[in-house]
Amino acid sequence: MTGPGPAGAAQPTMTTASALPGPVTDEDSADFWAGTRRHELRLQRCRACGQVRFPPMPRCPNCGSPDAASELAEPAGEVYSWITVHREMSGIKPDELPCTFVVVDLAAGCRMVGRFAGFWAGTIGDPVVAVPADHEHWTEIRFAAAESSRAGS
Amino acid sequence: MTAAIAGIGYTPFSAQAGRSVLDLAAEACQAALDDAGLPATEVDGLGSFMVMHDSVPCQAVATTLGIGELRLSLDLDLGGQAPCHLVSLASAAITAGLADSVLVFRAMKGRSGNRVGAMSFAGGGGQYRYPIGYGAYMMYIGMWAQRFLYETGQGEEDLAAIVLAQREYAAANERAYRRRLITEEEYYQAPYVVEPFRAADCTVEVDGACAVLVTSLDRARALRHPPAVIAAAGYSAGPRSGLDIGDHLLWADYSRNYTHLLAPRLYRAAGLGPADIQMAEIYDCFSSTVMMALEGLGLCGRGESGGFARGGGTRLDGRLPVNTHGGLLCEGYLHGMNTVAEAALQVQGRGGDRQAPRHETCIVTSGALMDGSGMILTADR
Repeated sequence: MTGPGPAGAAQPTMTTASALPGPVTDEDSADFWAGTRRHELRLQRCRACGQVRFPPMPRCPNCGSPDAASELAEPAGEVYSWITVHREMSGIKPDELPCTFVVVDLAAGCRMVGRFAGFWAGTIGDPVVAVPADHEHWTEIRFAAAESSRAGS
Repeated sequence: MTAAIAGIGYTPFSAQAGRSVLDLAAEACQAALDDAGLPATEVDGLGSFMVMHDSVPCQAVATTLGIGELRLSLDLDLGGQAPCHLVSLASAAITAGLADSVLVFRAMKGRSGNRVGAMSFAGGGGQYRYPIGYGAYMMYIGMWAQRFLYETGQGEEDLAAIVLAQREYAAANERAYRRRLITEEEYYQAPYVVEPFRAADCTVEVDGACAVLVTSLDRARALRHPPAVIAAAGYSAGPRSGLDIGDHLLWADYSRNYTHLLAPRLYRAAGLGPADIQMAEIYDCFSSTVMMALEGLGLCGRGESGGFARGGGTRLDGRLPVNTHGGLLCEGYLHGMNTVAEAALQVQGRGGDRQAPRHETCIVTSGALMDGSGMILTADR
């Protein structure tokens, strides 16, 4: 996944052939989703208070300013919490079980949720990296253990 | 002017009602009126809530019940955050002279019809959740539970204690959908649905309806049962509560929900403190929310709710009976309207086999994560 500088470059990419319906994007989110398609993690940074936010929204949830810039964010962070799904549910195929989701505190200073790529044996505080997962018409952001990512690159 | 809950009505809770939601709503509302001994013609306000159009508007119920002029009609687009919020609004409306008698109800076919657990909520946050399979409400609660247990040094044995205590209450509640007692061993033998939750940690979806009648304390005193006085009630959505009811990404601390913000306001308004609370009816779509609220409301210290439950503190003979109807985990998922109804029944002393011995003050919550509502009911003193 493309990061803001050399440190974030050359992360692994994963392609899946999933039948998941893609996101219904809107004016606020178009930049983010266009970014994931290019394997970039693009976040909004408030020009008034300097804070990064997710999900994208028209004004800063911290100070209310409408003035924001889109920037490339470092695709890395730490696991804030996690769950593992053991039963088939909407959007998760039986052969994907058990399926772990992680809420990640991104280094940029905001939180995202995504699927954990691979078998989860981790815990809160573990370092993870964002990895793009290409679907036919959209690209999802997943998270993988930071160590295994380094080992594979 | 103070307001009170004067009547309570239910339909049976079932897997398949085989009747319309409007029929269920009308039955529960009429039952609440009959319970209080107030004719429908005296009602001039209605309040209800629905998630993704899974219920009927107040207007339809007013029409069906033959209510004359409606002066207050509150249709909230909310889930389990709504019941205490609606009672609070009804109480404020009565105090302000906008209405005299208000029915607050929830009616739904939550089992045979639209199941909230699998719904896609309206709002801008869904596009980041549903396409990746992060779409069930229990996942969001689970994400908070995991962090809460981690931060407070608690675990599955604490969730189990909450569940087992509520199962005992449900066994004494003929209305409860899940009435079978389970052992601790059975609890652990069941596989995870979404770790850290097993099936017994999750509410049971039902078809049904529940209603309470809110009126002035003066009027309530003239009706059939002793009033459950609304000593304090309110709603809270904390800062950065998100783009929709499932968007928790901007919330700072998953180990503390809205109850932390709401509790001081409730206690101040009621002129009471946590030590004065004799029992609690806590919104429990999942077991962890009981622990989080007990700590958020100051009824247990940080990290002490699990030990409190394991020590029997939430049982009928404990210091603070909690979820005496078995909770949403067992009685059924009426989105916490039945939690409010149980609180009123208990304060009125009509809890039957599951009546808490001390029931002068009861704290009630509605909701689990970023926003929710609560109230303190007291006996008429």
